Amino acid sequence: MTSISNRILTIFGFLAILLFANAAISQEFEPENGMHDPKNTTYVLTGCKIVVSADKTLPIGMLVVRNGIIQNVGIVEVPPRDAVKIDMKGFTIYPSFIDPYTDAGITKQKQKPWNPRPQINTLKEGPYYWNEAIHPEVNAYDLFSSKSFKDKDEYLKLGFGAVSTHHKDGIMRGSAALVSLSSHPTVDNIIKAEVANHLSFSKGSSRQSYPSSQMGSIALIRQFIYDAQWFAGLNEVHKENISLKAGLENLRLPQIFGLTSKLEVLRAAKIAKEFNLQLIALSGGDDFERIEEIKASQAKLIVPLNFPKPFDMTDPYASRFVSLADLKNWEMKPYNPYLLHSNGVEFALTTNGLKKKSDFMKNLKKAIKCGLPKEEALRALTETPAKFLNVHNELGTLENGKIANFIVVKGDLFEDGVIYENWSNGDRKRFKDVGRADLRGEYDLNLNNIVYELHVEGTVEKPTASIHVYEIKTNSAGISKMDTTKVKCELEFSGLQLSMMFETHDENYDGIIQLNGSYHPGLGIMDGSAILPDGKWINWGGIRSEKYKKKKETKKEVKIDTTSASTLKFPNMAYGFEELPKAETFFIKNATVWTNEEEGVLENASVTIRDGKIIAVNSGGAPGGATVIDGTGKHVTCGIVDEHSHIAISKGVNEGGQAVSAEVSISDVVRSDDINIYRQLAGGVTASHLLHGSANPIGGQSALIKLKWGFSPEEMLLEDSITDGFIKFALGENVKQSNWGSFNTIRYPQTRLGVEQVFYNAFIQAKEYKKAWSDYYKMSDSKRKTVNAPRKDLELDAISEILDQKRFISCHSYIQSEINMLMQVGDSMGFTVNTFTHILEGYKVADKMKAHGAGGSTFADWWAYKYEVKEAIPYNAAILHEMGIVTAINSDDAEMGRRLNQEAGKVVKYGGVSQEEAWKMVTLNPAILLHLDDRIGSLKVGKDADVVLWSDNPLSIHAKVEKTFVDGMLLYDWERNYELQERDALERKRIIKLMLDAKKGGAETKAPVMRENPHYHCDSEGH
Amino acid sequence: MKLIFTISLLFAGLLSFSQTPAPIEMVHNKVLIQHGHAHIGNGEYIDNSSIGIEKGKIIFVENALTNAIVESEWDTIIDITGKHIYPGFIAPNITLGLTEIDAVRATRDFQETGSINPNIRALIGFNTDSEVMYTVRTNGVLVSQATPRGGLVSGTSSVMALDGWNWEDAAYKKDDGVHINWPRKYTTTGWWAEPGPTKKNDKYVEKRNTLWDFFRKAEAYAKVSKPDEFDIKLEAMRGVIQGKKRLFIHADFAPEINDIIDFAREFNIKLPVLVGGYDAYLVTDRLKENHFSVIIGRPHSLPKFEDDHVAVYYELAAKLQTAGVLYCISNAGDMEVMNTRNLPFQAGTAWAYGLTEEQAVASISLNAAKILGVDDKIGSLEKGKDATLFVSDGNALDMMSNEGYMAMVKGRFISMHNHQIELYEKYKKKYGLKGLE
Repeated sequence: MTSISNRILTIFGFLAILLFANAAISQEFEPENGMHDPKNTTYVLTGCKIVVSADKTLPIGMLVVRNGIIQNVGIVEVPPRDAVKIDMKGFTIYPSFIDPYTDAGITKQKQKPWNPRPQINTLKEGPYYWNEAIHPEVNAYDLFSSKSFKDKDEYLKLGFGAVSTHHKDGIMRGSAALVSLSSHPTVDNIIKAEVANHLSFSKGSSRQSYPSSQMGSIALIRQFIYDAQWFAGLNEVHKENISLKAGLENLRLPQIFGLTSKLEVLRAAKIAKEFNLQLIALSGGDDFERIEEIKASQAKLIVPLNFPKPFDMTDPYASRFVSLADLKNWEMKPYNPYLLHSNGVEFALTTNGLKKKSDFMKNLKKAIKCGLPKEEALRALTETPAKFLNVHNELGTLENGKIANFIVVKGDLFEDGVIYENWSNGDRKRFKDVGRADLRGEYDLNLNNIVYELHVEGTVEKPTASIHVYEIKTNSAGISKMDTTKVKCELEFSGLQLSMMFETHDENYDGIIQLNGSYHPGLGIMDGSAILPDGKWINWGGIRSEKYKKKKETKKEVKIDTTSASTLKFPNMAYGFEELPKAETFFIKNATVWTNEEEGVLENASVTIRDGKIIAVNSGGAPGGATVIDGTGKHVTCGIVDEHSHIAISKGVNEGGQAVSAEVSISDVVRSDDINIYRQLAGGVTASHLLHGSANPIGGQSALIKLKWGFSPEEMLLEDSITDGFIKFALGENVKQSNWGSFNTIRYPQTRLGVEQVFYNAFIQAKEYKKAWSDYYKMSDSKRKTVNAPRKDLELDAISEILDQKRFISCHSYIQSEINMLMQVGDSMGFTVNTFTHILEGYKVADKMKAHGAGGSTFADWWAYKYEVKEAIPYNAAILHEMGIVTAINSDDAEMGRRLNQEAGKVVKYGGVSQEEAWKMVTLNPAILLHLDDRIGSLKVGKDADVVLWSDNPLSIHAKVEKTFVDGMLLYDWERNYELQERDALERKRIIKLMLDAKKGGAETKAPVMRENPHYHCDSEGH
Repeated sequence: MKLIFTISLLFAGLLSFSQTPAPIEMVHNKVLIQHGHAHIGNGEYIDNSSIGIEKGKIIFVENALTNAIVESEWDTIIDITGKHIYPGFIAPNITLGLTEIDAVRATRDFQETGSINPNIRALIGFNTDSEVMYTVRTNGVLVSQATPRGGLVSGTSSVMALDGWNWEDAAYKKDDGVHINWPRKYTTTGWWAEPGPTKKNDKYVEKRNTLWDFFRKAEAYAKVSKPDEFDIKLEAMRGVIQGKKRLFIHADFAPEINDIIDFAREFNIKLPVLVGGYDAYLVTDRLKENHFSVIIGRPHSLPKFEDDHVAVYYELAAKLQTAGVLYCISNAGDMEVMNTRNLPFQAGTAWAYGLTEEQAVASISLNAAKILGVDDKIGSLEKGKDATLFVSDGNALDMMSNEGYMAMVKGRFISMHNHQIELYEKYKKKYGLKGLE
């Protein structure tokens, strides 16, 4: 912490005791040019309503401010005599807002120029961390410049009095500074120099190739924290590292994570939990979609109000580009604050993400209409951010001793209120004059005894005037009558001085009359001098005849409507559930049942499931309460297990930045709202092995999921104490970057020869690492204190797990030479390759695979897409199987994942494998390869009720999935598909109508766009 | 009588396995194929067929029960009792033969630089020695439309037999039509790993205008038979303008399809074909009114819209069938070359999702032949057409039973061997595996 903030804190402490103490903070130290300026004026704001905090309002009171600090609030019997009094009658004082997430006054980092060659190492010289996206040593107070703070007035106009600003770039961004928005020099405005530590998953301007994925960012953050902790514990340090030191220091601050979606909040919460940190997450505004999980994570949120614009849905064809997910997103995002509040999640609000800051109030009012109570809106803008930033003793409410950060408002701030003044750090910024005289009314103007009627209307700030000229006119018939003509009158009114000019052509004056005069507000009188049309000066006077009558405005009641908040689906998109399904009891009868067990295929048989498990196979009748499904002519199987899938993954399937990335894990980035989950249920898949891509020899850890559509990533993950971990390895063209263009020739390895060495290198390191730790643990406590602990290395941890047989390899592989190689590495280093995946030349080394003990998971018929698959043959699976190798057929492709049954059918064609054995290749065999065959992969009593009802033999072209059960829950139903489509079509129509209404109401619209789903395979175009 | 029981025996001596199989000279003048389940290709089916072939042409297709034959009149009689016989399947809109290994640039010959390339002719790159091709025809696909890719006007395609000494020999119909990649109204943003939202294509109108302008020029140019100045691109358009060649316009979404229909009307395109046509089912009336046929995209593709029904692509063929639009099924897409062999199963899936079996057969045979303008020669087992046909042990549209038994192209027996089978045999032998087929 810097000396300045220490000073400030000391001073606040001091103030708390001695309220009248004078503290002109920095000026105490700075030599003054000219006379001493004590800057200790006291102000008393009187006669105003004071909103002390979200929970406390004084209907009328006084506010005493001295030297930028609130001295007294409420009924002040004897205001200080030397105080400047300001009459605030009719106004309301609110604490001003705090934005906890900005980059105010900090120039954005320019994106470094594009270079097609990868940058492996950091280019930042000095005692810093090895990765350019990690720069905790950056302090916002060093970068902040009042000159760059271009939108300060916008913040003030919106009612903000302080903002926390940080360098919005990179993964570990450094510390934020809390800045008040007064016109004082920056030295006086920094309320707290280091107020929070900022992190994100986005590497920003760094061009270093690592990390290239979100899971890489997650691993990097974790590794950095371990490194920093380790560094701090070293007994001897021979090298300085500023990043590690600053990073550790910063962990004592509030931890603010810049995130973009609800799932990222959960991911960050997982990291926070690991290091026992309290997470404060800048959310994506879609938290309501996973509210239960977010609540349980105990994350605190900083919530943006950047509600999406409605789409222009005029063209029915173009409107199809907008998914129901995006429509619902548009509809429901304004309900996010309300839903967070009603679920008890603590949150602050931010302007972050708004394209136009001026939309802030508009959107906040929208959130209020959508159910957010006004006092909670205030709390989220004042007390909560103050609490988050640990400055609740200084800011957030109007209490004695706090900084005088408040706004003066006419009306209700959250309805029609207008901000007149914003006091930040005691510095008064006026947008409107609270003491301005109201000139409005009707006056009799006397100009040399000629009387004109003056009407002043408009607003207090901008009065407008007109003159009514009375004339008696006689017509040709000799009849006289009084005539009134209204003429426009120019009016300028400033202070108490006014000038007017009007043109008249009546019986008295003909031409322009210019007037100047003074206004006497108490009396309603004006007087002064004027020049008549003939150029003569006269004196004039005016007396108010009528007071200004305000036109009666029918005050619109703010309608609170939260009905849309209950239209949430799981997931909140097409085919989402209104209510999450539960495991039920089903009895499927009269079906052909493929058991995958000794019983084989049973005709006219039944399967019973209850409580998520298979409780009977062809025995007994329907249990009580069971839903009976007639399977006559149909087939029942266990669910398909896809050994090699890349669906349901967020932000990158490859951490290709380095040759070895064992530290990253797909289970950190499971994306539960990928429509492909639903589509694969429609293909009978119930479990998938989500693999890292094949960009590097040692890729990342994989995730095993059940395709539990509607549930959260954690609920989908099949990871518990009894599941084994898996990791992706890869060989060949992808890892040597053969098909990545001519610029990617830098990263090691570039040949198969290098690939082998990468493996040896990694396993030798892992062995040394294991030894270092075991030696360390063997030491006596006293000895241990005298030596440096080994550095915890997440990468080597994962590789060590392979050696310890806690983590198993699924290796992307094609040609025989490299398959041979890895088995030799394994044999000599003491591990077995669990599964060769793809393994298209497995048939050439099947005998060796058998001897090594590896399984194979292959494509049914892929080949010729790159050079290394030139000798791939569709008979591969048949040969592997015949050689006694556990053989699976996988997809590696979201589309093919829907038709793995057909792919299994091809194994019957190519090589004549029996139907039962072919079927096992997409069910039992992958389950065996994943060490899950005790839970899934066959229809056996006690196994998970992952069951599929097919219209026909599942291997035949006619097979359609009619029903898919996962853990006993009916998650997919062919018939229901059409119902859901109709439901979704109506839901779309309902929201499109709302969008149309919004458009009519003046909302800006945007052209329909489609959000494309990432479609990963590890093999397309060499990635 | 020269009854042949196993075709593979017949050819065993003719083949050298270490290279792609050679075309087999026709040595059989009159061939009779007896007792197969015949899927004619035009929607008809004969359970027990008798098919006569003379000089490479089909001379009759009859019911074997009523068709009396004199065995001595035939060089060769093949009994295919229990097997299925189909017209050779036709893979439209494909780069088979134009590329061998997707990732190896040296083997990619389907996309020229520049955006207007009607004069580019796909058949020039058609490699009759492609190893991939031999793995395709063993599943019954015997004809392809070799099609160039890229640009606004990709070039000119040709209908090719998957058998021949060279491209001239293999060509079924040279330069059958010109292919246009209609611009998309919405373009994608982001990159493959993290796709951004689609964006309205600001260049759409400009590109559409480019096409209109080009066609205006082509129209004017085609009015004169010997122009003062020869324009190689406009010359390539002459056949399209005159209605002699087909115009294949690639697009998926309704807003573009509607513009395409307007375009085809304006230029009075006689034989317009929509390729892709994901949304074709939404505009069937307009397509029919304007004589469009449709080559639909690979049914084994993901729905293009998140909200779409899971089976939207599987059901597309049946929807067009019901609406009475002439369509056929293509297999274009990712890794399309090696995947061409799965064309029968694409049709099989369409069968499972709404077509009848014979409609599904037609969707990759006669329908395709009509759309490509080769239905006078191929596409069905009908009298007068080429004996370009395929016999499978079981139903060819189901991967479990598709098992090539024999095939003919233009009446020539073609080898049912390929290097994959060769490798299979080699390693079966190495391991001494007996249990496998």
